Amino acid sequence: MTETKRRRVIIIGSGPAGYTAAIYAARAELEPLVIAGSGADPKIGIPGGQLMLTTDVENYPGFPEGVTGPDMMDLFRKQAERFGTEIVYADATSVDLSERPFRVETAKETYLADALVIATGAAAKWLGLESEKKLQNRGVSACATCDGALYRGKEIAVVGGGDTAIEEALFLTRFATKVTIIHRRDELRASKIMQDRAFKHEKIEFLWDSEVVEVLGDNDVTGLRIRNRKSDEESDLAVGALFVAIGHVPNTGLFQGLLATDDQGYLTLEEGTWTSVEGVFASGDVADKVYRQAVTAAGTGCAAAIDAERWLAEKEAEPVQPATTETVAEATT
Amino acid sequence: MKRIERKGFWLGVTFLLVFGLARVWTISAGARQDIVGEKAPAFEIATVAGEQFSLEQMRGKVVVLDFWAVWCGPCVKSMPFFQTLSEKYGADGLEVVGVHVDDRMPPPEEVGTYLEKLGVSYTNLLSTVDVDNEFMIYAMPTTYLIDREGVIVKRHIGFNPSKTPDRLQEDIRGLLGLD
Repeated sequence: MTETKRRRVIIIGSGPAGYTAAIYAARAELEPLVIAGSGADPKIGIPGGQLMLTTDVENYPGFPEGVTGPDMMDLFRKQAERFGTEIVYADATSVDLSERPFRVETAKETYLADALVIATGAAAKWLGLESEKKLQNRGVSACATCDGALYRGKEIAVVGGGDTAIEEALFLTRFATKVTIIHRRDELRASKIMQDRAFKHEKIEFLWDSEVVEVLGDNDVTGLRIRNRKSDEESDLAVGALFVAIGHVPNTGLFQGLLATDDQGYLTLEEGTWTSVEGVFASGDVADKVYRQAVTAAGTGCAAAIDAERWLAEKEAEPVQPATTETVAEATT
Repeated sequence: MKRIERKGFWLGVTFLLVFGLARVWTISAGARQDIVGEKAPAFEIATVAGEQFSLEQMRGKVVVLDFWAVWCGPCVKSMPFFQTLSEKYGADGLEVVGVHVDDRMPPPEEVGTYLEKLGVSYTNLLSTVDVDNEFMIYAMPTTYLIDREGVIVKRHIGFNPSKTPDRLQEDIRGLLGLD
C-alpha cells in the first residue's frame, strides 16, 4: 500500500530549473519536495539533468575557472537541501491535474501537491550511433554554446539542416578553423536569412545528401565516416569535434493531454511560468526551445517558484474551491 | 538552397551535359568557387620517394588525382582499384597520382611502407596545406579527374567498392577516348 504525502510545492525535475525553483520555494518556507528522477530510464533523463552529461561549464556566471556539469549540479542540490528541500530519487510515473491538490505518482509513493512546478527538461536528439555515445563529451556534443570553445583551432562538423544547425555552425566559426555542415538532404530547412549567412561564410562548407555512419577516434573524436545517401559511397572527414543539431525533445510525455503544448511538444506558458492548468508552473527547457541554457533554466526556475508562492498566497486568502479541470486534447501553439 | 542555383544556370547545364546522370557527391564550399571546369591549380610538391613532382608535367595525359590519408578507411578500400586503373590504362595515357593528406603528417617512409603493404606502385605525393586548400579537400577520398589539357572535369568524393569503380572507369574511358 502506498503512502500519500501532501506538500505545498512539488517540483518534478532536478536540473538547474528544478533546483533553483527548490531553493526559492524552500527559502519562502514552502518546504518543497523535488522528484529528481531515478536515472533508470534514459528517456526521462538522469537526476541533475543534461548538465550531468557535460564536462566543462564555462558560461555559468560565478565560476570564473569553469566547473564540471556534475559538480555544478551537486552544488545546486546542496544549496536546495540547505534550506530544507526534500529530494526523492524516483521517477514521476503519472500525474493527475484534474483536481487540487494535484496527484503525482512514483513507483513507491503517491504525493499530493498544492502547486506543481514542472522542470523535466528536454533531451537532445542523437544520431543513435554506438561510437557517438562512446565519444560524448570527448568531441561529441549537442550544444555549441556550451562546448564550442573547447575545440578552438580545430575543424568541426555539425549535423543538421535547420535553423539550430546553422546557428550552431555560425557560432562555432568563432573557434573552429573550418566548420562542415553535414545534411541528409540537398537543401537546408533553415530560414533563408540563416542559409545566406552560412553560404557566405568562408569557414563553412557543406556536405549534402550525407549522413554520419561512424564517429572515429578511440579517446577523442578524430574524424567521421560519412555515407552519401544518393551514391551510397563512404568517405572520411577529419574533424576534432562533432556537434549534433538535429533537434531536442522536451520531456513532456507525462503531461500529454493534460497541459497545453506546442507542435513540438514543449509546454506553452500563458503568463510568466503559468501553464494551461492553474497552479501548475513550468520552468527550464521543458518550456524553452529558444535559449536552452543552464542560466536561463535557473532563471525560469526562480520565476516558477515565485509564481507558485504568489499563487498559493492568493489561494490561501480565498475560501477553498474545487479545481477547474482543463484537459487539453490536442497540441496548441 | 541547391548549389546549382547559386553557381548559375549555365554551369549547371554544362555539368549535366558532361556527366549525364552520374551521381557525384555534392559539396559546396562556402564563399569559395567550385574548381570543376577550371584548370587544375598548378603545384610542385614532393613524392613519397623524395622527388619533386609538378602537375604541369602531366599535361597531355589524363590524370586521376586521388587525395587520401592513412587513417581513412574508404581510401584504403579504394587503392587497389586505383592500382588496377594505373596498370590497365597506363599505356592509353592515364596517370594515377595519389596525394597523401594528413595534418599529423607521418614520415614519408611510413607512408611509403603503407603503400608497399597495399601493393600500390603508382606515384604518391605528400600534400601541403596550400594544395589541400586549392583542391578544397574536406572528406576523403576526394578524387579529381583531369583531362589532357589540364582541366578538372570531375570531383568525386567517397568510395563504395561495388559502385564507384564502374562510375569512375566510365568517365576515365571517356576521357581517354576509349568509348
